[in-house]
Amino acid sequence: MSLAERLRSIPEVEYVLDRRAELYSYESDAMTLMSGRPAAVALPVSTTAVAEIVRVCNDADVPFVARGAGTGLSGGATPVDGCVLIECARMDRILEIDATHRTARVQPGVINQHLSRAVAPLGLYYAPDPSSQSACTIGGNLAENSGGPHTLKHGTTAPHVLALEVVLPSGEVVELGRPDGHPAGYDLRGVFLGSEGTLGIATAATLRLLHLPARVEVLLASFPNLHSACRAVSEVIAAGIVPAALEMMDDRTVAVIEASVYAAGYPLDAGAVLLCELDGSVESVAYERERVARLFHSAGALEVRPAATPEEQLALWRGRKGAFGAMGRLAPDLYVHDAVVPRTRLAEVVDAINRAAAAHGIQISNILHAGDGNLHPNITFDRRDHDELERVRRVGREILEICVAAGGVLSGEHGIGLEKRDHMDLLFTEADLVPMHWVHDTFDPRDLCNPGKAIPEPRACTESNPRHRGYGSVEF
Amino acid sequence: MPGMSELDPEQILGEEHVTRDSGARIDGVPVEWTLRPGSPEEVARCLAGACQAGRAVVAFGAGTKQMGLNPLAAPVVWKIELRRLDRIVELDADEGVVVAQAGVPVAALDAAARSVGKRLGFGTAGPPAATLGGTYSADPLVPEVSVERRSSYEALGVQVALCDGSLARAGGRVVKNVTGFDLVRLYFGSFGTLGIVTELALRLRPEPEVRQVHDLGLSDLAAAISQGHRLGLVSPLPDGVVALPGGAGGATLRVLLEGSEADVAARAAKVGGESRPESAWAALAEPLWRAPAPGATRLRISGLTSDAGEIRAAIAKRAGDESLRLTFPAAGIALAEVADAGSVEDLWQLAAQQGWAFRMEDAPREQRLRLDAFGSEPPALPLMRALKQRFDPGRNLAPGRFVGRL
Repeated sequence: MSLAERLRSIPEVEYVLDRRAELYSYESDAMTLMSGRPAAVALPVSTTAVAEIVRVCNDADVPFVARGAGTGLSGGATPVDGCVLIECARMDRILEIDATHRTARVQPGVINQHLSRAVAPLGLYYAPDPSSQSACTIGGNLAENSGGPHTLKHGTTAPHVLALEVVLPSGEVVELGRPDGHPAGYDLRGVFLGSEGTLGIATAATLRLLHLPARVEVLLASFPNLHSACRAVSEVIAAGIVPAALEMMDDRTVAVIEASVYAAGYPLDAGAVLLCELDGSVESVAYERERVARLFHSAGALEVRPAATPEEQLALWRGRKGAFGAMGRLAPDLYVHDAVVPRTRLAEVVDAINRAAAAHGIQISNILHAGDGNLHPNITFDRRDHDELERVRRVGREILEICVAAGGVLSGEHGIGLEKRDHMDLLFTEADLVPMHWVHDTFDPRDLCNPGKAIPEPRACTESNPRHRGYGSVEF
Repeated sequence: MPGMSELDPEQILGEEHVTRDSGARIDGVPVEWTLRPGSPEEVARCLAGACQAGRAVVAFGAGTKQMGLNPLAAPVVWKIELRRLDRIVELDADEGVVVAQAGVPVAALDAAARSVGKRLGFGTAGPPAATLGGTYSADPLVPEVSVERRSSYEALGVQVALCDGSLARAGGRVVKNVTGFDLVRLYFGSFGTLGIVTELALRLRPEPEVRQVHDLGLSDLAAAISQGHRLGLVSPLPDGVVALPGGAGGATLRVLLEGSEADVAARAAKVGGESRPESAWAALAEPLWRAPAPGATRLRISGLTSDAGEIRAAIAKRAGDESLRLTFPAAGIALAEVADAGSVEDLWQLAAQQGWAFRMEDAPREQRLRLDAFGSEPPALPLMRALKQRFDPGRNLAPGRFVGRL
């Protein structure tokens, strides 16, 4: 029996795709510079089915890679050649909503935004909100420990996850964590989150929900340049104010948004724009609004304008969240970079990044989750120009070097995936990586579960290890 | 591990920083060597040496958690004291980050943070002597404990000495980070059974402008629990809620509110009750680490908030209400002192049946020999055993002390 036939024989696997044309759209996630060709794509609808697929893969010694909506930006769901891609998008049921304890139990294919919509009538929402939240799945969020604009106040995905049902790389099913948030023993839930599907496949998650705030306000502030905007961010943070979100866009980003269908009325004459969302009680928001406006003005704001209506708030956010789509106007390809630096060093780091890009003749627009020092230098380019592609690759590495030299890290929310796996040496020594390998090898001793992602192999092993084969297209 | 094949602790640290066979014991086990390293590198060398010598090792901060662990499964032990790792490496108020060595007392670190208008987000309710490394390693229980503010996520980065003599870092010094596996969470609450924490980077929280404590008098503890549960259903949540026996009406619900003046005033009006001095909240901490009466066990049972009434009833039936306290809002956590061993065993069994989390905070050695101090086996215990085996193949790091007697 062929591999595809064995997969088709598993109950609750709705579809198995193995024709070349069917597989084409699964060759990469949203990091399209890397790709691989799966032998088959299986679409299960239950935990039992996922476990059985994994067991079949173990029997056949075939690697397997879990995938959600394919919106990941670091190549975390890029298939290895010849693997079985386990597409979890059809496991899209909200299994339980517990308003009393403010939790929801969901399958991994639930779309992030759908969860918040489902619990809104109960006065609740799910806080992590990646820019792709209208498409990305909870399973992908768990794998990448995804963030979003509201990470500043509420954290990335991990603190919102109480418990997980996981199919281990052996096919065994295990529960990690507890719904009351007080697990005994090692916090395997915490280790699993953000491990990019290399330690197993999450098939259900108990998530923490938050009360919808009584009051939300959004301020739009424009600044003559990025330095004054960064100063404003530093002063807000130093003053002990924790906005729900504090987002920055440079003039290039504003220009491209305003020229697109996402136009939000951002000022075109500013060097940088800040969006500041405050949430909480009516009293706390009113108080913080005054303080934030005062700090923005003292940092040199040209204008500070609160959104007057909920519709205006939405429009301001639509512009920000549509920014990546709008960049399609600049060039055929977009590389959304992701790194974090100390918040107090944002301005100098963005300057250095812009200089590096200019030196290579590369076009960059900057979006920053400025409140937590998370930068997204967005590189627009044309992959058909091989020379430009090579320069993009070099600038990508230089951006990381600049950030690490400033005391930063390689990723704030997109993960390492394939994109940055071989740049981990910028931040970690071989000794730092050894315990990560111990964890990996404990969960996946056969190295079949999304091999080659998240952590690099120790140098001595890179020549021979299959984890380093089977990914194609562009060395990055 | 250069030079570790013929280990002499006196050569590693100098004779003034080692003591041999002092007659000291850790939880009844004789201490063969007491080592007082002065740097992370020395910690790593001491650990590697102990592992090579096949000796059990216990990392020791202030020693405040020794009676809440399973007994050591070793005839003798090397004690690695971390008090000389007492340096605050970096305190950046503008960035909201502090980096400090493991032996720094949490109280001293918190005082340093408060001097620049910040505070630590965890561990500040421990005993005055508790160290940063010990607090992180022991999964601290604080009066404000809630799922809303998971204390493990206050830690941003960690440096750990491992059995092979290496020092490994995980995480970083920034407030947002998904670079590599999240080992900062793995080491948190692992009681030094995977490695010895030598340095930590922590998030600093802003000092609130106003801090108010309110007491609501209720007829009994059951009523206080119901009211505490209700407070968890409304927005915005209080910053801490504890139900206690005693007070004018029979039981008290003590509520903490933090924030701006206007915000706290508005929330206080909704909560009601009698205003208390701020020290009334701090006073809740002491019973968490005070030694129980001789022979008694201080234990913690946790469940969902809606379980709190049932947990209280189970404890009260065996030990009365007097020592009980229940912490809200997001999880129902009951703490109590239980005098007789039979009742502790009953509660251990009941927690296992009901799916409640059970933990002995401070118990006689005999009790911890009879029953796992961490409750019944968690479902992922085989995976935890495998992980322990990878990190500590010689089973040198606090053998037998953690969940499942790992």
